[in-house]
Amino acid sequence: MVLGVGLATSLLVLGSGCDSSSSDSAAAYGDKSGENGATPGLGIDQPSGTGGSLHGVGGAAPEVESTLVLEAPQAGLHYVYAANPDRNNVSVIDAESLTIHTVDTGREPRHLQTLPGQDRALLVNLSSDEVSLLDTKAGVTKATQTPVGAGSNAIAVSPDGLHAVVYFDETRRTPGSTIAQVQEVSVLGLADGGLKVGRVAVNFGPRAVLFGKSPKGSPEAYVVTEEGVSVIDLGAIDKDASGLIRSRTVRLFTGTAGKDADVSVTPDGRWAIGRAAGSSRLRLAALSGAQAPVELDVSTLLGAAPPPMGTGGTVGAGGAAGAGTGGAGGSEPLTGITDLDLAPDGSYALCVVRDRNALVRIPVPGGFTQPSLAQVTKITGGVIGQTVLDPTGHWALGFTTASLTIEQIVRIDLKGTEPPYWLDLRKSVAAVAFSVAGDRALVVHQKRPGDPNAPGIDLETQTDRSNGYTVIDIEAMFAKLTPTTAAPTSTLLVPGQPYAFLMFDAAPWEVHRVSLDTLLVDKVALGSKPISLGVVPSAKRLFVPQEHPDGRITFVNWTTLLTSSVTGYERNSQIRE
Amino acid sequence: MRRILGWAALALLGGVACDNSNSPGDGLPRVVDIDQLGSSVVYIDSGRSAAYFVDVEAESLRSASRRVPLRANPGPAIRRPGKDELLLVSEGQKSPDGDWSEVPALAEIAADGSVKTFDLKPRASMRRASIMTPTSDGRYVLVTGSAVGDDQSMLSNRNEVEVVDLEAKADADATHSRALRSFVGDLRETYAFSAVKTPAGTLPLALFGFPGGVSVWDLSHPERPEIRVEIPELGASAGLARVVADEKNGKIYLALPGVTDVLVLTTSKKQANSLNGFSLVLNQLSVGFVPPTDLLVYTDLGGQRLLAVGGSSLSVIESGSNRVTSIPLPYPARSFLPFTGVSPDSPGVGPRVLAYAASGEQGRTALGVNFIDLEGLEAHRDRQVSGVALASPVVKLEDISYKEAHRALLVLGGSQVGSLDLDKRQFVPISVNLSCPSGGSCVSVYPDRWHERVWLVADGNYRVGAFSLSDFTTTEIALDDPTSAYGPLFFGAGDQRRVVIPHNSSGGSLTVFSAVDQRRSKAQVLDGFLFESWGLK
Repeated sequence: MVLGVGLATSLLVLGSGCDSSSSDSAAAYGDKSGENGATPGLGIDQPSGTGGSLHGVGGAAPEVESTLVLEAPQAGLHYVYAANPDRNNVSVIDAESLTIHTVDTGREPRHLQTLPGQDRALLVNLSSDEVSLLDTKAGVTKATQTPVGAGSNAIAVSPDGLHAVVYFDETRRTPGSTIAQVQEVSVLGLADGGLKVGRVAVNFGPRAVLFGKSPKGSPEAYVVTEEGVSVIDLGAIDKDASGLIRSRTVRLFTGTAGKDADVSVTPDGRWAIGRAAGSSRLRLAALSGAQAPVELDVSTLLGAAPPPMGTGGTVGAGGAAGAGTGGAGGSEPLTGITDLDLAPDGSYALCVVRDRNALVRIPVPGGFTQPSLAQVTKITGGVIGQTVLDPTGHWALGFTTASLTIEQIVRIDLKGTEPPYWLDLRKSVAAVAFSVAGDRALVVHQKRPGDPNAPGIDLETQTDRSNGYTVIDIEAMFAKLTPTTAAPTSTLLVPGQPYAFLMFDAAPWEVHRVSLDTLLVDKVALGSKPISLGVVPSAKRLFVPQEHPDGRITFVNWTTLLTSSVTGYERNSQIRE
Repeated sequence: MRRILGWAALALLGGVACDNSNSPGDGLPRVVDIDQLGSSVVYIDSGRSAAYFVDVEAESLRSASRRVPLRANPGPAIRRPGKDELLLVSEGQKSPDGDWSEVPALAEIAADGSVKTFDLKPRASMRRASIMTPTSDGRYVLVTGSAVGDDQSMLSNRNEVEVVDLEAKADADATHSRALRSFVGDLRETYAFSAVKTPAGTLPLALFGFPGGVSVWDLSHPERPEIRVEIPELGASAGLARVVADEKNGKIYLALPGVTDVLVLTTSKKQANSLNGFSLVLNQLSVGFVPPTDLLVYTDLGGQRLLAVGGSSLSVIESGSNRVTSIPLPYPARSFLPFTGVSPDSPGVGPRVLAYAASGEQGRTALGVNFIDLEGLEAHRDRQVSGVALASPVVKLEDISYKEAHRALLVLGGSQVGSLDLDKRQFVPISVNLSCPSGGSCVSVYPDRWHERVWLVADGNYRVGAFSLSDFTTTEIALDDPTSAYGPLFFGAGDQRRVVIPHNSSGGSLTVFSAVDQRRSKAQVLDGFLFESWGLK
């Protein structure tokens, strides 16, 4: 699994497309903030300003990547935790019995993150520069407060729940907030139910934290900063209770070039790959810090127009490449990389160059030092501006979000045994996500302007003017469209279950359950606008926090779809014996 | 009309004109309640601390009375739910030196005249105007005091309550007292529920309303603390607008005055360190219009629904999702009358509701009532709502349904009475010639126990009337004495059916006539039977 963070970071285990300046991020093991659900799902922003024909896909037309940033209740194993910033407490809701109890925290508890598979949660108290560790046992929650760096407003928790990093994320900064520690993060050791805290100096401007293991198997955190990556040995916090830990700096960029860069880390903890916004140059750095970064200008690999895949197959990239080389060769001008993915095992990077309808596959690390190892593949038969790779690394789906009239998607066999398979859809594509098994894909569509209920329009026009989503059986390449009134804003895959859930941005307020077996859709009505989706594994329930002055969560049995809601849960702090 | 008098009564009648004028402890009759048990009319005489039984089914009325002593200062009685018994609180008595000569007690009076007495805890101050709130199964009775004592005591606590288990195995375990912890004001209202589902089993619960919050007390474990729920919206000026329990699902719905949200208390599993066997979860349902005045819980499409009414809007709240569907009503409404029947548009039997406004603010402008078919209401909305226009606003509505006949008796402004057929949705008016001093309606409505007639009584009138439920024909009976605040009582069966009209008289006065042969000449009047000389046993 690749660790990565992009400009518009996906929050999903299932990647989606990205714009011309960002890469996909497989983030189940490397969430930007870690605060938007340990549960895989798809956050979606509908593109704006896209329209008209994309004949040939003009170079300026952007590819749009999904993004979703929310503050929402979080689920532990049995409980849902909802911060009540105005009351300085947290409501803890038993997802099975809906029993609610509250626990006092520090001042202005706002950013909350549960620990995977546990009934524990971390919470940043914004006004007191503290983190609360909430530990729930037998219906009682104990809160332990500990100071963290000034202005801390983000938490990232390691997938095993043994460590966390608390830091200041500039994108979450609120007006009037205190002067923050911009080069310091707090590292928490959470093993054995305990809480150890250490402070670590990092590069300027931490904006995301990824987790992995060193080549020796030691747990590490990778703090993505404006300059590159600061590597923290998490094992040190477990050993050294004094809390003074040093980080190892891997510099990918200089100055402010890396401010909006996307950075990925290979799951073996050996390599970091970065790309500055809008650049066609990739930088590879060893996380050991032993080697200087190597730069590869992808445009140099496209010196000659490659033969189309399926007719000429893949070819080795021609021409010299490497650090310092520049300028795109060939007969067609290159306007830039429109997508960058890392293979799930981190063995190669996959770039999409929409102008050439080309995929560039660069082995990691060999392709950076020996550009001739890179493979350039031209995909014919349609337009491809982005790819999404399935978690198994077998398939990629190629598509473009830059047109409202292109209604195609292509299946690409990353093992190279089958030719590309183009599938006609009924609507243009906004975002794509794979199921965990890689056998299903969910496509969220764009809508064309116009009233879908206008009198006199035919079914096709109505479909184009509607929102909707399609589920694809990857093996059979069978696609089932579900038109919707509102645009899907988020999806969630239930771990270990053949269900995906979607929520929407407008009334009627409801969530859809998609059976990944039958592709059939069931609807669940809600009382108000949903904010996010999450699951409580032990209760076998989906939980849907909603907009409500006093807080509302609807719990949905993901099998029976029976619902129960808690509204005004903040008020339960007023119940006492 | 045959009059039966005791000679002593003749001497006293003129001297004791008004029963309420007598003072406690003066030894004179002071009737505080008239009810019926078995074949007897029962007078509660607080002045002489006794219940007087008059067997109106006895062959000889003259010899059919007896006196049952009670603890000092008995108050009005209530009927014990599910039993032919009366319950009342005797406030007890203090001696001049301030000690209790008789401690307060709850009396359980059976039809045979036997009395079971449960001692209540003597308070610093004497009780006054105690209120009894029984559970619907009649097992538990909550006793609260609504007024501060007037016995010169220094201390009084209006939050002291007592629960009496009428079926306790040992008398010592029957009564428990508790001084409730208030919020921002004294106890204001009490509700009792007999079998609320909780994770600890089905429990009898009491809910107490205060300014600032409510408390819930497990009556089966009275030693446990009450669970307090702070509700800032509950102000000092008005109590809960409506309390409805869905006992089978462990929910208690609270409508608050001036608040458009309905609060739901749901029993949930016990929390750690809790002394109670369950906990409460507070849920808040947004109704979305003017504050609701009535609530109804029902089931549709396999899920629970809460129906709320207020003004000209109806809301259906799906309890699973809290989704609200608002539906306009043809006429303003404040209250529900649920029934299961047919409708003109739907011949199948289904759950339906009459929504109406009576005597309230909306009642003055509601010239009609609303019928609502509940099945699929959220989907079909106002297509399942219809109105029936009325000539005048509803002043009073009484459900007189019997078996398959679903009917309501409506008293309208302008002294009009009529029967509303709930199945056909038709109103049949009957003019009543009454002039009420207040200008409103002074008619009280009493369906008889045989479902044959509805009796109409105006307090202080020399006539009572009735109309037949089968053909709406009317009957009127002239009386020798004016009617009292206590309505007609119905006794017997078959040819021996009797109607008893109590009159205002400190010595006791009743008119007894046959429900079969209502001629005045066949009626009997009993007077003075509250006096010992009348031949009381």
